[in-house]
Amino acid sequence: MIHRRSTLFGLVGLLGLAASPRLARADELDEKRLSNRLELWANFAKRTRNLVVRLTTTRETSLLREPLVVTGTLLFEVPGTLVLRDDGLGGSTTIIDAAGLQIVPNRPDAPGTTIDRARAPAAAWLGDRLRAAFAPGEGLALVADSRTEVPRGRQRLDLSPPRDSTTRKFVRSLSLHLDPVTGAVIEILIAEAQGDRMRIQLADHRQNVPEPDIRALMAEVEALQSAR
Amino acid sequence: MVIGAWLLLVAACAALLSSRFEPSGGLEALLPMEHRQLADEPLLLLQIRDESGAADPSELLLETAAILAEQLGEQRVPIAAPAGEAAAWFDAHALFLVEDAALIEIGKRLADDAVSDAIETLRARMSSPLFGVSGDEPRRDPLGLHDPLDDRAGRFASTRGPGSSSITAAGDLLASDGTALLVQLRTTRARPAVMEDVRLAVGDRPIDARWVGPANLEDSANTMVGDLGLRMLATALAGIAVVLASALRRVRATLVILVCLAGAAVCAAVLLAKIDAWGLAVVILWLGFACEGALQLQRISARGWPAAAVLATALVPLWLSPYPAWQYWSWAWVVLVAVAMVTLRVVLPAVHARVGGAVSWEGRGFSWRPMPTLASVLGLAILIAGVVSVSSLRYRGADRVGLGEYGASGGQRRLVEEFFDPTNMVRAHSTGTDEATALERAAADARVLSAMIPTEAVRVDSPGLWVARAVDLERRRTALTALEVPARLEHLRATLEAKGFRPDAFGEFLRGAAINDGAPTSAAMLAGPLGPWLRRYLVAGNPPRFRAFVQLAADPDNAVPQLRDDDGSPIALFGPAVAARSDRASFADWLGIYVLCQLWIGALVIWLATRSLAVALSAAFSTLVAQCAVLASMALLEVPVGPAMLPALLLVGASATIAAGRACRAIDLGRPLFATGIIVTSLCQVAAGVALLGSGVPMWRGLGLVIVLGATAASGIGLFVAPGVCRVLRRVSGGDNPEPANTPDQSSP
Repeated sequence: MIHRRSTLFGLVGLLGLAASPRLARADELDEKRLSNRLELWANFAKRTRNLVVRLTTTRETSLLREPLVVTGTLLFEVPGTLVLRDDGLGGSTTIIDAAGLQIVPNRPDAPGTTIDRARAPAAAWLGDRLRAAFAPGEGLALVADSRTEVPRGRQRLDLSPPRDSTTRKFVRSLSLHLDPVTGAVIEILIAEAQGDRMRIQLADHRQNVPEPDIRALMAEVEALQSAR
Repeated sequence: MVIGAWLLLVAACAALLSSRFEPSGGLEALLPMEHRQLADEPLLLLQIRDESGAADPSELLLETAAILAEQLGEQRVPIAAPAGEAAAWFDAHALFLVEDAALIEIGKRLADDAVSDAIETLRARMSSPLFGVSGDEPRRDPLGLHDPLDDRAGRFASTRGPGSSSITAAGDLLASDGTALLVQLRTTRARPAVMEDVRLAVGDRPIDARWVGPANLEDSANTMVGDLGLRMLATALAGIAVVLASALRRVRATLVILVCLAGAAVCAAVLLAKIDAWGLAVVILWLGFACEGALQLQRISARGWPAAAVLATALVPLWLSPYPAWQYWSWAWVVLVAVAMVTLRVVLPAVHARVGGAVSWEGRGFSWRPMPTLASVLGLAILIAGVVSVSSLRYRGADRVGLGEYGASGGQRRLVEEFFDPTNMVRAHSTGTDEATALERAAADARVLSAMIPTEAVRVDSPGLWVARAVDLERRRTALTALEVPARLEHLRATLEAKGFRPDAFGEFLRGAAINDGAPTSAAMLAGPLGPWLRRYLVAGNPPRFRAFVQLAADPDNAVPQLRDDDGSPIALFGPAVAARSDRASFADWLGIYVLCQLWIGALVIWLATRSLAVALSAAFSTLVAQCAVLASMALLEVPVGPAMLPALLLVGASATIAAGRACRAIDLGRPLFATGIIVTSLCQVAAGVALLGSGVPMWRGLGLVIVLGATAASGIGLFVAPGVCRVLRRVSGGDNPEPANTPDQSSP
């Protein structure tokens, strides 16, 4: 006579035994993919002392009839100053550094905005991730305070705010697309919680340009800041 | 027969005790009734369990809060204006609510050039990755017209959550990390029954629901009294047993005294019926101080009543105090001492007669001599030390009662750190003939209250701030007409179109700024979607009143703000912080009054007993010196002084009066002084103090420490200072001779 209950428990046990290594293996695979992706990213980032990149920014928002497309320049300088400067007077310059977060319109008579990190934690989170995306390192700063996802088959790294963070009210995710050969960040996609999407496409990466060149570019930014 | 009657009485009391006696918290028992927290408005904290691993904790909490609101119905009130309704109200009425000065700035921002510049700047900023996360809300306010409302000084703080919390759509408060939600209830039902409903609503979700704030602390104090009451009584009795056994070296005498004390405690418990945390401390002290009635020491008068009278009247001065608990104990202590004295002077001798074990100091006394120089120097030095130290003593008000681990729940900490500290929350009332006029009145008062920000208050939460006063409305309408708002908005719409924006995306702002939704009057608010939120503030009745909640600045050294409304009438504030700050301002004066009352009563009793002014004055002087010694010790040990310490100070004074009376009387009569007995008396008091000290609960620890220090000092001062001072007084007055040494019945034990 076959005991039905014993058989059932036995089957469940066997399934559990079979599933547990699979789950463990899935975790291991995720870990491995993340470490591969960070290794690829670090290939490029670890050599960065400064960086000058052309950028094309596209914001899709319900406020505008058409997506807003702006071209400009991304500047990065160690230890962690990131500037996204739009071309022309109709755009703005975003300055993210250890001192704070600023959006300064390029038009000289328009007022700039300094974002208080304490009052806008989502801005602080996003600013820190953007800076870390270009700063040299092993990637710990990049994935800190974030949930990570590494989609299979594409050279992409998705970062999301932690589950219990207020940042989620503003930012859904930040995706970095990497060049499969060099590991340079070639596209940044920001999905905002209220539905806006921002795509920053990066091209013509110039890593470690001569000091006088980067100083000249940074001097322009400083002049813009001091004009306010 | 006496023993039989007493045993019957104790048995009857014990039987009654089990059915009548109930412990309670009594945490606010030292606060006047009008300043206590609102007992029918408990705060409920819903917290996600750490191990839950919920994907979206805030969603889970919001969903649970919605079910809870449905389950509790009218018993749940929004603690803050629901976020959506509040935003809609301000969007529609911002131009009416800003100050006159801000309206000029708004006029400038509505100018054609300024509108074009603002829209260009908006477009320029949109290319920044930080644009959407900077906290700006261009849909609600593309021109920054609401900036004057969003003042950092906090006049319109009720639109934001207190602390780091945010207001949910339903009007609850959500912690910044989204794992805790604070819900306000308004119910007269018993809290356990309400908690049952809450648990039903929570179901099997991984959420802990617990009371926080005053309700939680009261429950904790209640639990504390239940948990520690018997243990502390047993500790006190054990301490007294050790002292008596060591001093008397007789098992039977010690046991008999303990049995009598325990019997008296049972009778006293029935008389008191209900005991709270403060009452428990007083009963413990009573056990220690009552012992002296059992020791048959040197009598101050022939019949031996002065010591009992001084002890019984020790707390009488507190009848003048504003502390309800101490007012009660000012006469309840008399009853307790009477119970103890009847037991120890009637029952104890009868027991001694039956089973033996009477205490005798025969052959243990010694002749005592006054030391005028030592007494004068010691007394004056301690007096000066006491007077000097008074200024350095820290004050601890009745609003901050330390419960130790009983008051340190995680929920309570979270409430204070992330939401607000209820202790600093005070209330003001605005009354009117009906609800609308009361709200109109609240509008006027709220503007006075918000003037306290940021020096005296950090937040004013009043619906009055959301309402424009009738006197201001017409003036504002005229000013807005001059601004030509409709034409300006039409220009804005055209500019938005021209710059590639969708004007409809800014519809919320365009509708609100058009001022078509009427003025923010009290009638509009009462009838509008914010009406349900107003239940938190409205005290129904005749006449109706609107409450404003003011979060005072945390600095307890601040005085109580003196506010006057538009008519010049004072605006009264109510709350624990107000009671404590008012009390702090006059505490030193009142302490002096209580001490003077005690000195006068003690001196009168001693004078009536001895008919010697010098003895009475020296006893009073010794009392003052003992109290100064305690104050100086407290300053040295950095123990705060406050209303909680008053009974201890007065009992120490009584102990010194009795010791002084005994020492002076023994010298006057030329009888041997039973110094050991006086020291044993003090040690029994110290044992009671140690029981409080060892409880580990801050509110009792301070009392215990003062008793330990004071009882030790009192006997020393009674023995060394009082006789010397008495001698000095007699030398100075040249009279007041002592009675003859052979007065009968003076040395009877």
